Amino acid sequence: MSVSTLDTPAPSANTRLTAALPWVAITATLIVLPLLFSSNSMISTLNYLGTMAIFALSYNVLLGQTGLLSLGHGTFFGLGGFIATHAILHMADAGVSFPLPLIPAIGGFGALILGFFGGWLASGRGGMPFAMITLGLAELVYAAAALFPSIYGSEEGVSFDRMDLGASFGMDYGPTVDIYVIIAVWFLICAGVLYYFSKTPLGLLTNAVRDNAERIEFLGFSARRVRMLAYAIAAAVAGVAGSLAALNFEIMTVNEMGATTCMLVLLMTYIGGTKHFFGPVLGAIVIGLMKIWLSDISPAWMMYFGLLFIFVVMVQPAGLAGILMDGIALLRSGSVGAQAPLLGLIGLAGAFALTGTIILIELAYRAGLDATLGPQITVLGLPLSTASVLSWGLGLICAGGGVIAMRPLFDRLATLRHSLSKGETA
Amino acid sequence: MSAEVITFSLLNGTLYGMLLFLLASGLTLIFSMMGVLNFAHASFFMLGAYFGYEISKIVGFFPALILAPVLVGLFGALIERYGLRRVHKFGHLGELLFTIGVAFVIEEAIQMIWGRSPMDYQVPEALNFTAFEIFGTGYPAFRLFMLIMSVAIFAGLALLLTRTRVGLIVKASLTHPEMVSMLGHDVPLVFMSVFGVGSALAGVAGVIGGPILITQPSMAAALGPILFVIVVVGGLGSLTGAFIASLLVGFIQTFAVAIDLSVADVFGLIGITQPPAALGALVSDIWNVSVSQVGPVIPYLLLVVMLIFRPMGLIGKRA
Amino acid sequence: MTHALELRNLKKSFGSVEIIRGVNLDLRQGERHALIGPNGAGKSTLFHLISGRIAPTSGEILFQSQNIAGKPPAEIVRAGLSRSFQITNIFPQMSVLDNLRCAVLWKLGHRYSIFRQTPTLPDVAIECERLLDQLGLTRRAHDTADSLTYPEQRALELGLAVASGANTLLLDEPMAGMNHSETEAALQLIMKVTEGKTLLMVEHDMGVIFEMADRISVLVYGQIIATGTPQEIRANRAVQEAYLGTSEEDAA
Repeated sequence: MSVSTLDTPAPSANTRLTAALPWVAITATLIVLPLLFSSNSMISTLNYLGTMAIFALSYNVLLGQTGLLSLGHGTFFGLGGFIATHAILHMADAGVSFPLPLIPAIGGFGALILGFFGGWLASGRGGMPFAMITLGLAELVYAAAALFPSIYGSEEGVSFDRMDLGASFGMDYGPTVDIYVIIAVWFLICAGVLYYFSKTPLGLLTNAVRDNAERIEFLGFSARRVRMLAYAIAAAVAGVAGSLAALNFEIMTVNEMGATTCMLVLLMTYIGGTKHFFGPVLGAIVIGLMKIWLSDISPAWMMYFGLLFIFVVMVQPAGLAGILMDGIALLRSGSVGAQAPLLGLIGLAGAFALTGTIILIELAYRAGLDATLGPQITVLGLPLSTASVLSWGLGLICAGGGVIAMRPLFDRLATLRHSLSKGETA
Repeated sequence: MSAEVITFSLLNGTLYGMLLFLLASGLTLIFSMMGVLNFAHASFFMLGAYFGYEISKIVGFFPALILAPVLVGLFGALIERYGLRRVHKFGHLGELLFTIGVAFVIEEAIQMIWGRSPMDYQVPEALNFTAFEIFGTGYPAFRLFMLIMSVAIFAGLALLLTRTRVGLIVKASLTHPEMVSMLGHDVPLVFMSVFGVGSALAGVAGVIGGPILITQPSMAAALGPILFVIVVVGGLGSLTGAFIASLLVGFIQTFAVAIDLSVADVFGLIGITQPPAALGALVSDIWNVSVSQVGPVIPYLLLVVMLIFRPMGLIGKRA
Repeated sequence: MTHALELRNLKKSFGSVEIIRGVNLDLRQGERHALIGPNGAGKSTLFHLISGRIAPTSGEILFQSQNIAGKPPAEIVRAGLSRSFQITNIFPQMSVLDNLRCAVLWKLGHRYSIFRQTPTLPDVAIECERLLDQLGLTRRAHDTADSLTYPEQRALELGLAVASGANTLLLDEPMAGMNHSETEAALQLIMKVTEGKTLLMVEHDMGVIFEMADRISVLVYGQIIATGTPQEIRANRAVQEAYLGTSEEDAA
């Protein structure tokens, strides 16, 4: 994977230091976060985000690194979670003492084995067939789960008490912050392992399969084998993420491995950016927070997800991480001042388009799904009404005007971006 | 199983299979022509059902049978023209992602407009009678109508593709887009039309399928994966394969529902009525599984078996 | 004299159309052998058959006395026979260095390893450095492959075939689409990097062929109509009738 800021060719003492810098920063952040946000609900949110970040990182092994679009990655998240759940239940029953923080290793290992089998089935071809087959396999597992209530529980799932395995490492795992520690450490382990993996010969070969799966066969390798291995590794890490989710919520339901989870991880990873190692983490944080906060304030939050996703697919395939990297490149080039009018205009047009879209969507939801709540609605501080032509007109003008103004600006932006990337390589 | 059950299952299986083929044919056509797996195809089906419901409330079912698919077709063409064509430069992965986004937004939009609960989309009065009776049980006229519609569209499509100049251009665009464009045909227009027609076919399926399958926001998500199974099992890009696979899945699912048999019953025949307790909970799970419960699993099982023994599909060339 | 590669009555049909109609050809160890013929004669198809991209309908392909007909490409490469492509077939989003790293991983025994980081493998580094130097791409090592100029991409294409360590190379029109001076440079490059290896090459530039080839085979309508030294081919009446008479203007 081309990780432009981290990929330094010749390892000298100096470059090694620069390479280690992001990891030191991440570790420091992980330590500081629970001190800043110490309320129970905030820690809970952090736990959720951490789990999703690991999950998204594992997905990017397929999507970004190997160029494989899996529509069934949630299966391994769920299976990993169920394996962990049953491991805890059985060991608690048998009175075996096993440290809780190591449970995700069991979930991950189980998912790895299942991932080999799934990968063997799915990896014959890449591209569209791969997407369809992974979807089919995910549906198979999901549909079959209903037949085995003793494993997957019925509607209400399988729950357990994480304190049943007893205390270890000086924690009894009652408080949420104990789980935070486990998730943070596992995040570092998983991110480290996956980053290392991306630099190994197999990691390089996954990129080669992404770029040109046919040519790799003429270099002595089997593209199928590479896909299968990548699939299994991604499955293992997803299994770890699923186990951590199980530890966090102390319950696992079949829905955790359904189509919603499969779709969510795709959205997070792609919106975050598949071309940068930490892009998926960014996506997991942004989408995770949107999911938690936006769902409180708007019934339309799923719609915003979908539209954001389409926007990224159509306009910004490098994702949020791409925007961030472009921003850094611009800062480095020192031409921020000269480009300020363009950026300001884009921001203005974007704000208009966004405001208009939000007004329209909120009005539409109020007029349709939530019509019983009456026509009056306050959107972004504006008193609007679904019965008023003025309200709809305002939304249309803002959205339409913003989008129309955006088009020439984006052309200018593309030119700027091009010259920046040229300037960097020269 | 009685002759009655078999006859009705055969009829319903053919019906469901033909309905699936209405969808799978459009999906296959779009896939083999543009290399795009249209993830939103089942969403167009759902739009067809909702449009059909809404329009038939105003002007009646039969005008809606024409109008709703036309609307869905136009909508599909617009999606191709202003969405898909723009992401074409990002490759097939970009296109697939785009259609996933579209499917997501359509589902949300439908919930936004029509709410989360099922619609009261009823069989039209004119077709709400018993067509014929066999074994003393009536077969509804609407189902017969669905069957005739599906077969007619299938025949029409086959004729269009094999016997007309339009079909010739479409087929040539599949394999030699540059050459077709050199000959003066507007290939992007052909693509847009094929996408539109494919969507319209899905729309027809929605209008006639809506009253039988329940018209609700989850209908696309429920049907979409089955469609992909059909397309893979049939052999990617093969219309004949999709036809066979559609009927196969149609029969499997209807027969599975009709067979009221569980593992326990089978063992009951040889006098074992209780699962051996020593084998644990998993076995007792399996013990209680009935064929109708397994029904939803079978298409996916078929997919896996196919992948192991015949990865190119029923009718398909090795990639 | 041992043969590096031997084709025996090789045939390939697509449906009812027979494209390769019983080809017999032998490649001597260490020779530079050119394959020429008019468009549509089946040269590329023949390359696809030998390299395993498509399977022959019948016949044998003996590589070092072992029949490789119908084997997958990866096995054929591992046996020591690699190829380049007429249409540039590289890894566009990866750096030049990473392109070459992929190509040398198998022969150096690292295969699908996940236990070491590629940049820290000394043998890979040394081999890639040597290749970059040979190909004249050292300066471009860290640029992505799709940012290279066309002749540079062709050099990388050739480099991938050479890097896999094969002793026998199939080069499919390595000079395709190059102007005169670029062709001259490419020829020098090919001579340099294939030193001591057996070479089978399809090429349209007659000047290049008669300058470098030890022997030439002429493929017309799926059959070899003549094999011999450049002088012999030049003098061969059948060849002149079938090919050179019409094609010299195209080649110029």
